[in-house]
Amino acid sequence: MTRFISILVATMFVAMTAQAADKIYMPWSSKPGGSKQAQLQAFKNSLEKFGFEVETVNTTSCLTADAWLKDNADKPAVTNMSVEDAIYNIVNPGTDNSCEIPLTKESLIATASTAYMNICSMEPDAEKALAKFRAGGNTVGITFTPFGVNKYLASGFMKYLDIPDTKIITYRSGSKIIQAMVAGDVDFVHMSSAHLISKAGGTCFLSAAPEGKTKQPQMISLETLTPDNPWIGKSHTFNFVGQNIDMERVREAAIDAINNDPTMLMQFDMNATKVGVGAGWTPEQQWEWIQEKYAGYGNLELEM
Amino acid sequence: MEIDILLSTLYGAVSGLAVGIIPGIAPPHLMSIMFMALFFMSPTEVACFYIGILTVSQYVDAIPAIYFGVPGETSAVPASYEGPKLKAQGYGRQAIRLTAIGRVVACAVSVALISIVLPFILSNTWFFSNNTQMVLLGLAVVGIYFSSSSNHWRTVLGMTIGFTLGLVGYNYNFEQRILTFGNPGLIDGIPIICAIMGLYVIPMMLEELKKAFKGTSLKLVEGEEEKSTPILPHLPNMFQSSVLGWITGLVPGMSYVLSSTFTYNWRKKKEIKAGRYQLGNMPSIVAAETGNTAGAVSTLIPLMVFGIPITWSESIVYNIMVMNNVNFGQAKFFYESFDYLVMAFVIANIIGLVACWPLSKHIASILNKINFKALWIAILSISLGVIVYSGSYYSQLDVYLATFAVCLVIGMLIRGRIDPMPVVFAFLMQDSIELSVWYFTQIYF
Repeated sequence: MTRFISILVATMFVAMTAQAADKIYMPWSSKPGGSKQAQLQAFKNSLEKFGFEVETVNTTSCLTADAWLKDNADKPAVTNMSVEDAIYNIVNPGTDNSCEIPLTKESLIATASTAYMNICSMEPDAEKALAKFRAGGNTVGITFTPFGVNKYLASGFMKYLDIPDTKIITYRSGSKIIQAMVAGDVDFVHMSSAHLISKAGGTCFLSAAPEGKTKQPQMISLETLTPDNPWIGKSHTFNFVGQNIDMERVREAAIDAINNDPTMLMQFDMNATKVGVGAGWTPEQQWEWIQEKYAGYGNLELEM
Repeated sequence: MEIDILLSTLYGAVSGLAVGIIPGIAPPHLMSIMFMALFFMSPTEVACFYIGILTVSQYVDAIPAIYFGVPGETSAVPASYEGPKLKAQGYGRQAIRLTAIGRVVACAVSVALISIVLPFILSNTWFFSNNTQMVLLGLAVVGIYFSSSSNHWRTVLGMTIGFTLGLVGYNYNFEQRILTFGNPGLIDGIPIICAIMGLYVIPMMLEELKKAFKGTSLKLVEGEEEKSTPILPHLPNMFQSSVLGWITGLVPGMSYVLSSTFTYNWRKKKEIKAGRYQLGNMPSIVAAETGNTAGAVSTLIPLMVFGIPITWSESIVYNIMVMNNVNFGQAKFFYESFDYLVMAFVIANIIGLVACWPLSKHIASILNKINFKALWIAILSISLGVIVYSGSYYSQLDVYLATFAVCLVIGMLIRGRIDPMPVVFAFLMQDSIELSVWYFTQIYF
């Protein structure tokens, strides 16, 4: 009997240890409703497909995910960190809202996507929408995250277009900003998630994507209107990052999510561009590309 | 998906049985105890669970009211007033039967009214604007304020305490940390479960436990041999009470408690005027319970369609749904979940009807045998276990225990002095209220 109990306990211990080894925590680094969390959900599904046990942590922003990761520095965890959040931290180190989730060569699993910023509205005619936008006197909704940076992306986007009296309204999440657009609280929204705008019945008519790289036929490139605008090419770049993980195995799952998950594929179809290891790059090439993104922001003299 | 929805409705229905028949337990208590289980459900499952709990508890709350003279819920107070006399006269089972039929009528009328009103709401996008949402939230705050059992100053103080506790954490609008004391675990604010448990649930349970130890127990009302009464003459009363209950259910803060009180008083006045009223009046109890059910259905509309909770139990459901990634924008959640919500509603009604009619006698007999001391000790232990489990699950046990302790101290201090309902409501809705005011000032100033 004693032997039986010993075997049972030992088996349970081994089983629990084996299970614990494959467990990964996933603190959400954004509110629901946007591209960032949709990508994490896709990543979670793939991780589970690859045999990991994923436990999501109910954090709601880069800041709170960062706090959780610092509190649990010894735990295996993955999350989504944008280049724009990292830029903010470089410019504002140690402030109340600096999110310090490391986006380093060592922590970077895969760049999930990069999505150009767009101006969208409920007006279906792109030319009419552009005329109204350029006439000024409008309200433009933006999301707060990435921390503070969106404010600069939006004002930078408009700066070279000479648009008068435009008021920027900051919303907490992607779903809130779309609701505001549909309900008429704001005239336009500045957002990378063009697919979410389309789903809500809106149209994105102006894009920061360089000429020839706009995702939808009605979109006009910022480059067409202002060829010297340094905000051309500005995008949200989301990256899967992790700590205390088997990088190779986790990266395989990330690549699977990027290449096969229906949500990811829809994002690539509607508004995002595939870059990084998911597009067949080496991890080194991926890291160099991110460094270039950093450098691109450096030229813009962000006053934060 | 369907099976999960079905199961969550059944969980809700079983929980609704407990809420309806055990005096002292209300939907928010049970939802707090089941918080972690609800967290693992999808928003649709949470909504179906809530429909289950709300519907079934409304059906069965008349059982303790009529058989024991003790309301299972606040909305059953009129039934507990009229019911025991009816039971004593031999009309107890008839009252149960008629209130059950009244509830079915109320559900049918409510669904008809919803199908008339909703297309208008959904075709007007301004209903979803920040201005409309701010007005609805404002009405909810005013409703909660006026339905508080404390005087005005104490209610204001209670709401201020709740709002201040809700402010703890990183404030995205002002871009700074408020009352986090340098603890990164507080950036997301005080965990909801700790606040609800500390401010309200545990102090209330301690009170009930005290009552149980004092030996206050339920006593079955003795009555004459059961008699019967026809159903048809009550139908017009049922229809009228359904319409009135449905409309009053939309009053923020008071919702279906107002529905039952209002329809009861309305019918009672009519009976007095006709010279028919004496204690143990069947039309009055039928009106109260029918109106109550219709009100419970209409209460769901602002939550499910706009994502605006108008009662404090809805504010708990709302917070759980938001944590579970719900998207209320443009009634998206309502559209996507409509079939499931209807399914949950039908199932819950069937369960409620069976429980409160054919099974009412058995439920009363079980209720008569319950050891309330053991019951409250068990519920209290489970509640404390939920906090420890939640804290461990999020690897933040220290934060959970500390915030729970602080909230418990506040909860014990305000107990008997300030109605905890506005405190908890202000805590839960602080973020939504602040945001809608923030958006408003950004747009217009």
